[in-house]
Amino acid sequence: MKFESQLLKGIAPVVVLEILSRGQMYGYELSQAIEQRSGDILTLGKGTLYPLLYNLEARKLVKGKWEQVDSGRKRRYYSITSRGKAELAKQKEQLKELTAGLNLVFGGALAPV
Amino acid sequence: MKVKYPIVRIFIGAIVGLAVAALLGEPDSGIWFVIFLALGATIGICVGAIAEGIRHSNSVARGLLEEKGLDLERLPVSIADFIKLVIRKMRYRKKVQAKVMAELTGHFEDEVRECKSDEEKEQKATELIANFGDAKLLGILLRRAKKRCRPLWRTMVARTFQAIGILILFFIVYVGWFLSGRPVITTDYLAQLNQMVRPAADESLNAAPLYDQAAQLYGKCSDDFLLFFAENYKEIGDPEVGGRFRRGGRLRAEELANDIRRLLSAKSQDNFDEKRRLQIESEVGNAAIVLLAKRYHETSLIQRKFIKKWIEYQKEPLDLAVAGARKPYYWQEYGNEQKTTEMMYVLMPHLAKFRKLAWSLCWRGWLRAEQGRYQEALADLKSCYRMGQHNKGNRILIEQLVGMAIEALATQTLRDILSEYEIDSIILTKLQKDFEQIIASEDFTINFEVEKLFAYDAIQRCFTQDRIGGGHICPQELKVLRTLLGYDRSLFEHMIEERVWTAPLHVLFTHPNKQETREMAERYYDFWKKMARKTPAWTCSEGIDLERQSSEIIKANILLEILAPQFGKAIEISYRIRTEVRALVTIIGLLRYKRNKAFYPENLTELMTNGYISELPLDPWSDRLLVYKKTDDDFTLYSVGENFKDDGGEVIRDYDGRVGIWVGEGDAVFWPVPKPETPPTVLQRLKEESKLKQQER
Repeated sequence: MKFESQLLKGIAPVVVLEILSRGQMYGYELSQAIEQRSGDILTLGKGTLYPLLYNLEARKLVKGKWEQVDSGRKRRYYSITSRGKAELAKQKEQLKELTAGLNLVFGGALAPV
Repeated sequence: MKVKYPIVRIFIGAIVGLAVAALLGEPDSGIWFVIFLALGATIGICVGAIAEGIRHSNSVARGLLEEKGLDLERLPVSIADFIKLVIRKMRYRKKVQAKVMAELTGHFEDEVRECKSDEEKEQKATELIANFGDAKLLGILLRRAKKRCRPLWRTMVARTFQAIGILILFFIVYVGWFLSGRPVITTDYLAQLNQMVRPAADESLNAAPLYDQAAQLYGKCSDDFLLFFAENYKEIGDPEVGGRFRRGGRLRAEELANDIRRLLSAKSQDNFDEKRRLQIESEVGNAAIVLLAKRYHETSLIQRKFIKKWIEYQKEPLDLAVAGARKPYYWQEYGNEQKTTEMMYVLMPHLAKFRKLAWSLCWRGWLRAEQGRYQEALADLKSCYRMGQHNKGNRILIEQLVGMAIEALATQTLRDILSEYEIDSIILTKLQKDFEQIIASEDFTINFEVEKLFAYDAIQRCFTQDRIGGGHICPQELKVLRTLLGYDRSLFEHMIEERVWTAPLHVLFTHPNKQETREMAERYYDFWKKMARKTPAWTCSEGIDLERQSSEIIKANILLEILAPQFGKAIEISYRIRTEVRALVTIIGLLRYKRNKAFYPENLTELMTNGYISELPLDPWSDRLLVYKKTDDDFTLYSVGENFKDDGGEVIRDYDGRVGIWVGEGDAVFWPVPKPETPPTVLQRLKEESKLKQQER
């Protein structure tokens, strides 16, 4: 399902932070994880992913480092920072309130986060 | 040749820059050559640094991909091209671009790893590229994001350099605009000058044609006169004290005398050299004019005889000069060789003639007085004074100074003659009456109106018209003005040598504009006009430093600082002549008093109450009356002089025994007229002074 880009715009950073909070990943791995864990509902355009990661890195919510892999090549792994964790908790709290509010509006049709 | 270390590349750049500058520059140009070399070295360093920077960033890009074990060659061509396009559109630091390229390459490698065939890879590539979106937009987003990753200090450095870059660009554009400005000439000040000096009178009342005619005829002499010179050149030449000639003078006089004899002996022959005769006449005439500059008592008998002969040959031009002096007006048409309206190029060839005519008239006066022809003698001196008056008033400053010098010469000569000869009361009365009539309407104050026109003309020629900021100064025109006024260094050299580093910035940004300069000029001349009416004594008592105060008005205005003269000395000279004239009239009154009553008055007030003078003579150097002291059978009359101190009538003499009146020390003694020491007296005095100095040691 294709969502309005404005709807996804605010959620994308939270989604990325949530997935990275479960373990460090590289770019390709992250894009696959978003699709899998959202049941293919959420798809982040490849053109959005890397700018998003760099923006999160600039805000010091994630940090990236190059690591050697078995094949001899290097990959850039991203992991969440403590500031990122705090931001994630805050964003999740806000989303919870948002969902509760929407639930009341739509008469309980939305499942809680 | 492969250069290993970055610093070596920069050093080579510096050497090459220095070598090129040394080849192109001129070693003789002094400090300019050094500046040129420094500039060459700086440019070489910059080029070396830029080359090093480009080389380094290119190698970083290649190195990073190799280091990460990535290779664009392994990917489909469309993906490789897409990645390169994105990186190109990113337009950021090479190192950052390389890292992003490495990440994108890795991502695409992971995406196409599962594909089994090239066709599948190509198809996957197409989908991925579509998914990534527009390469340009992606490049922009990546650049923005990476810029945010920059640490604060790097951001600040980048912004600072950007700001400096913008300032430099603005500066270059501004300088270009500034230097392209040209002045617009709107007013013909030369025409205004000619209008100003021209009185509302008929041309027949103008003395100028008579003076011009006199100057043209002046200088002719006969063979007799040339022979007289040839026979007496040793005494006629300009000897120093003790009879020695000035360096080279005797030799020249001797050669001239030989030439005269040779020429005149060949006169009857066909090969008579008329051109050489005219040259000789001119040279002998110059010798005569040199002697004319001396005062009567400074010359020997032979020199006076020579002068007398010379004056006899100049009768016609001198009579024309006297006729001119009788005219009520004198004006000349000012112009320049280029026939333009530029005031700076205005020529004053007419000034040169006045000097020799004035000297000649004074000498004729002396020689006539010697023969007892007092009326004629005094008439010549009155004419000389009138000639001086003709050059004053609404005139250029230099003309006014020439006028004052001629007036001073006439009054001094009159005093000398009155001192030398016993002239009867009737002639003295007529002299005083005529003189008082001559000076009745004379304004002794310096007139600045014409000088102002020079300043206004220079302003309109050195400032642009109606540009942003109200008209700014044109450095190119300023350069021309400086050359014209005889400055031997350019403005830039002056700045370097005087270490006035801020001068270019001042010219560009803070120099007063055209209107402000005009107002400054007006205030400057108003200041001098006001000061010209204040006596030196007043100025001294008020503690006014004329030079400093006038400089404050035009401070930081480069044009006016070059152009505007200091008028302090000219004002002093105007007060000198005013004092000398009043002193002369007073002396004539005193002599008449003596002739009539057989004694001198007790004081000047008595002289006035008895009707011998119409006003008391003020001393501008004390703001009181001239000092009058009655002695046994004579009197002393003097001004306290330019040291403002009454030295009891002390006379100052120079090394050659000549008398100085306004010399900054002693008093300006008008009566008794101090005579120059004779050479033996001078030698005696010098011997005594030298002996005294030895004793002191």
